[in-house]
Amino acid sequence: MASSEKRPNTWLGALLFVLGALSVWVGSDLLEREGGLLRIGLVSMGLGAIYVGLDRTMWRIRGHRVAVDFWLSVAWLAVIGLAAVFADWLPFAESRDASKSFSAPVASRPDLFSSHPLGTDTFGLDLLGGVVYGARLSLQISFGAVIIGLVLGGMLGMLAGYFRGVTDEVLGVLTNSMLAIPPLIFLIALMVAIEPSVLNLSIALAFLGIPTYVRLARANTLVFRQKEFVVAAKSTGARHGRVLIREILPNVLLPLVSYAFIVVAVLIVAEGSLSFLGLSIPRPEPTWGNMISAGANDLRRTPHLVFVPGIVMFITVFALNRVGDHARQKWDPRESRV
Amino acid sequence: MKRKYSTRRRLLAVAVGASLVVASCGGDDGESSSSDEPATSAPQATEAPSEETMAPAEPEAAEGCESTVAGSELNIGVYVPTGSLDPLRTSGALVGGTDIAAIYDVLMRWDEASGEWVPHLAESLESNSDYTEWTLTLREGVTYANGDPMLAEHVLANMNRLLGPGANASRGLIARVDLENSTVVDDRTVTFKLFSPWVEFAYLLGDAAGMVVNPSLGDAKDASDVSLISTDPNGAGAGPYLVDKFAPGESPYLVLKARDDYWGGPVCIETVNMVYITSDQPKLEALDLGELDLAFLRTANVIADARSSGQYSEAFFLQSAGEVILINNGVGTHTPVTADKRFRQAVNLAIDSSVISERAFGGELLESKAFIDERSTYYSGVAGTSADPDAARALVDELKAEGWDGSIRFNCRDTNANLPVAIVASLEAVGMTVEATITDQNSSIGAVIQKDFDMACWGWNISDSALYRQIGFNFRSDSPSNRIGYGNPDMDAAIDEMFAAPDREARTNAIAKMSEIFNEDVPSVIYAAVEEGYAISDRVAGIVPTQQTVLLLGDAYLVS
Amino acid sequence: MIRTFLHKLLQLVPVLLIVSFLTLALLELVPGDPSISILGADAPAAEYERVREQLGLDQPLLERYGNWLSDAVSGDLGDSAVRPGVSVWSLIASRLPVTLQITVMALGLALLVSIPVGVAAAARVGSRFDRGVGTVTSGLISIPQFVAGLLIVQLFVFNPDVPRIGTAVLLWFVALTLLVNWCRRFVSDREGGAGSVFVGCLVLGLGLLAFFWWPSFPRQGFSRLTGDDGLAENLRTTFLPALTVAMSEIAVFTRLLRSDMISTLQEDYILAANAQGKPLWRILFRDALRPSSFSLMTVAGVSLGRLIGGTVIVETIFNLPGMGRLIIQEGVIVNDFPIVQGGVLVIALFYVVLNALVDISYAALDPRIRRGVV
Repeated sequence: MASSEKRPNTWLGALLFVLGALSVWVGSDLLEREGGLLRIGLVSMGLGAIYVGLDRTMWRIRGHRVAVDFWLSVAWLAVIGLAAVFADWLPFAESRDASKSFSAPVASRPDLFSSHPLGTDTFGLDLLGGVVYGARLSLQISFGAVIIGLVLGGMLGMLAGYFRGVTDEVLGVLTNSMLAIPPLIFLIALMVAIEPSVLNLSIALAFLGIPTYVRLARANTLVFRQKEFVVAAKSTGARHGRVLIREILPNVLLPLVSYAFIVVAVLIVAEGSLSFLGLSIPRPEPTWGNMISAGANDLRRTPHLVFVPGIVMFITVFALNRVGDHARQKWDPRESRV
Repeated sequence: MKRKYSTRRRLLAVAVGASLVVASCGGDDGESSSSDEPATSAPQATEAPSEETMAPAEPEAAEGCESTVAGSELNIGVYVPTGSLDPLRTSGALVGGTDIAAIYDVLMRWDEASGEWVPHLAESLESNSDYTEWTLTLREGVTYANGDPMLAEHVLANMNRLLGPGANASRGLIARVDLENSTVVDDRTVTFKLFSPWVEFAYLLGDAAGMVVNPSLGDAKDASDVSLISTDPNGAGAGPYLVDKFAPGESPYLVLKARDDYWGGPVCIETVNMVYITSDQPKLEALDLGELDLAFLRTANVIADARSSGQYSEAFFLQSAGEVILINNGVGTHTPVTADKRFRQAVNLAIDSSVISERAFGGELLESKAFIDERSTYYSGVAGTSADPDAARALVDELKAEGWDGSIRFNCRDTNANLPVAIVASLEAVGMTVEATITDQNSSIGAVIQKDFDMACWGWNISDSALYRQIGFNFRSDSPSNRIGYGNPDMDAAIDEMFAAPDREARTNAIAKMSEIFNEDVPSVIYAAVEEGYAISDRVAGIVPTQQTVLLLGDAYLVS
Repeated sequence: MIRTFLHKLLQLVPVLLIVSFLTLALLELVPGDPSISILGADAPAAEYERVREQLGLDQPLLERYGNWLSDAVSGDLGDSAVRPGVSVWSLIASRLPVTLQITVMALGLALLVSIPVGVAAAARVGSRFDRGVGTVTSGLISIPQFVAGLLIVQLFVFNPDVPRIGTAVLLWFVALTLLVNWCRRFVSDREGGAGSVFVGCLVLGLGLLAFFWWPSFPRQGFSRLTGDDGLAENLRTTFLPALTVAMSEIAVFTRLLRSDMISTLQEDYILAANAQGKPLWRILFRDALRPSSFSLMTVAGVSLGRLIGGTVIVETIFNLPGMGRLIIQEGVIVNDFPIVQGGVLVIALFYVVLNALVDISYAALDPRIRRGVV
């Protein structure tokens, strides 16, 4: 039931775009001073106007509806990803070593054209650099967890779904046990016990996701093992291993990977929660979570310490969700009904 | 199913716009007015945050009411809730001190304004000329909540009880009392004999030993050998309140109800609720919103916020050596270099209080490197060592040349995430390599207790009221609570001098000596004094603070 | 079906065994021990040893697990290590209702919002509203719970006019839409529509209520149902935490219901009903909603089980005496292991039983599963 509308007026789109940009500029300029809700209102309306304007302009140019949100998300993720990879070569002010930032101003507000475009925190560490290095850590932890989970969980799920019988039963019990442990409590206890490093966090977070991957892989394997090409392969005497790897794996992989985007988003949020409870990578090494939680104590005096990493985290997670949605629509056989 | 979107869209736009405009006009005071003001100057214009600026001073007795005001309630946000209501099993002071003082009352109380101990439940306390014998006289007609009269012999029995197995830390001080040779003169009078002169014996009677437990109830235990009064002390105390509900973990964890026959007259406030909120900022918010009437605060920038709002009276107490980097002087497991005075001196020179303040405490720390802080009434003029990173670096290089590789361990609690970062940064800037372990409070205390640490976040909390206890505990070479293995006969002698000092001047002289020995030996590094205590709402009056942030509630009343 | 029921029940036992053993093993790794929590920092070293011995901390892991297990099987979860004399069971009994209440309220809120929104979005797939819903739900999932909690506190407690006016305006707008729809009903000659008026007036009334009688929410604290102040005060203290928890659930439920409804609405019988001229809302709510809600119900049931163990953050922010804080702050942090063991066991039990119930009801309701086709 797609809606159809007439092609929009050319200039309305562009006008909205310009007005929106202006509104955001004025609104964020007010970040320098007080203004509270008015500035938030201006910036939000401005962003909304930009989005709508862009949408209409692209529509006009391309002649059909363009999924602007998808492409914006991809663009943002690309920027963040590249910045995270090349962080060491980018010209940030000191953002990780508190013993080198004694001369920098403390908790200064964002000032777009200075050497600290997004401001500094209570140690004089640059927030822009912090956000980028934080992106690197958050992405490392999340992707690490997803890869470990995918590999282990996917394997176990495929085995359970393919062989059924006792294997399935045993794996079912194990999976249920892992799911029955309250996740947050498990994470907290684990992180209190072991040292918080990227590897340990990845393993801990992977542990939480494995049951879901197992179920997903198992469900998809169950669907595919009855398909003709698999039956054909087995009847020609192919060994189990071969059938699993050649026939089932490629079909199971795609839905799993499409789900992975969303899982990465969830894990980034989970790392933030762990930081709030003080259980993630400790300061001064920046992660989004520990930057937010360090700033949360003094929200009224220095709100930018929370909002700068918070907004970046929000946009990244949002973008991942969007991309994940689109990916699932294309690749998950159960989703592509619409 | 085509629809006309235009009308709907217009309506939505108008609605959203209208609500935003109305809301921003109406509710824009979310940005509190104090956000850009320099928080150090408070409208109450206290020059220095010393104890003298406390608002409710000596209240007249029974000023507030004729009898208990029905329906009146007091909500107190505490530091940490106590798990037991037996003075034998509580740490007292910050942990349940006010709770048990309300149930059992105290014999003597500390008057911050005059800097003296004055009798509270006791009628008088007199000593002989060399402070080795003390005669305590109880008031007439004091009864426990179950009607039993309080007798002088109960005070002796109470001290003996505190020597039994349990948790109380008064044991070390009670050991100074020759209990066998102390005598009960009559029903109201008892004479204590001490093994050595102690001018401030009154301290003991202001702490757990002064919270007398009704002996007929104090010994009853339950199946797991826990005293019954731990959870149900009604009848065992002579204080103004009875326990209505005790449920650790809930909020309020303790509900007290006023007693009818309190010796101090009518108890004005009918119900007292002890509430536990984990950190200071939400406590202040609850105080602002009226959900609490008193809030215990210990964080420098939150105290500054409370002061700058101008709405509260305060009962804050200064603790010298409130924030300390404890250094292992040579016990248990440690990197050998910590036993070398030059290392400790290097740490001392590397730490700049103002830098730590700016980076970890929002600029509100009471910067101080002195043994006894200059804001204390006992300040003897001996200041601390100023920071000198270059000199620190020179010492570090010297030690490295002798074989140290520059690495050192450091434990800290996780309550202030920025503190360990600031300390490590300062130390690494002078050439050390610090391996930091940040854990919960118990584990970081545990490392020190098990004597397996190099440096740790700590606090000696030497308040004016507990001077003797804290100094004796931590610096005497024979004290079991001396965690760092520090021992200097000169220091012991100075401490003895303080215990025997007959007046303030002699006391301050002894302290001057101690301060100089401290600066010379550098057993650990002090970088801040700490204020802790209560912000009190204007609705409440008649709160009487005694030692170590304990509050006496018998005379409190609500101002209507 | 009896077989599946017994089958599920049988699975319970090994799961609980594994969970409780893992918990004890994990606690072994946690540094520190309860003796410091009990004695404080000032006791002599021998005292700590004595306490540790008393608590049985010097025994090997398997032996301790065995002891605990034999007691637990007979229903005795032991006493707290740090607070002697206080039984773990009594602690759990006083904390579990709090967590349950928050969780149930959160799910209720989530269903209340997600069902109408999900249905409406599915009815207008691809429209601006639908895309807006998609964006908003993505946004809600992207906010970590602790940030949501802090923002909700800033809004509802310190700037109460914003949510008050916002809710009122939103409700009036919805009411207006429904009433305008009803007017159109008359014009375009479809039957029925009285329901629209009724609901529209109801929503209008709610909007007025919101505007004039908006309650003030406390920053923290919890008032028990059985306490002096009764239901009103209890709801006042539990609304904000429930809302915080509900935020991400709303998003998940809405998306789930929407996608299921979309596929259901493409079925033949729906097209037939439409052709017959049945009113829209009847098609949506009577014919399409029930088959589409299977996934929603299972996810809601599973969420209930999952959330019971996941309320630590809101309990911390809002100072609620719930299971999360019991296990973490009064258990893990102070090394009070009987509390952790008992608490985790109860939560795991809840989760497993709920899961089993959901699976069984799913099988009972969907004949394809019952017959083993899927």
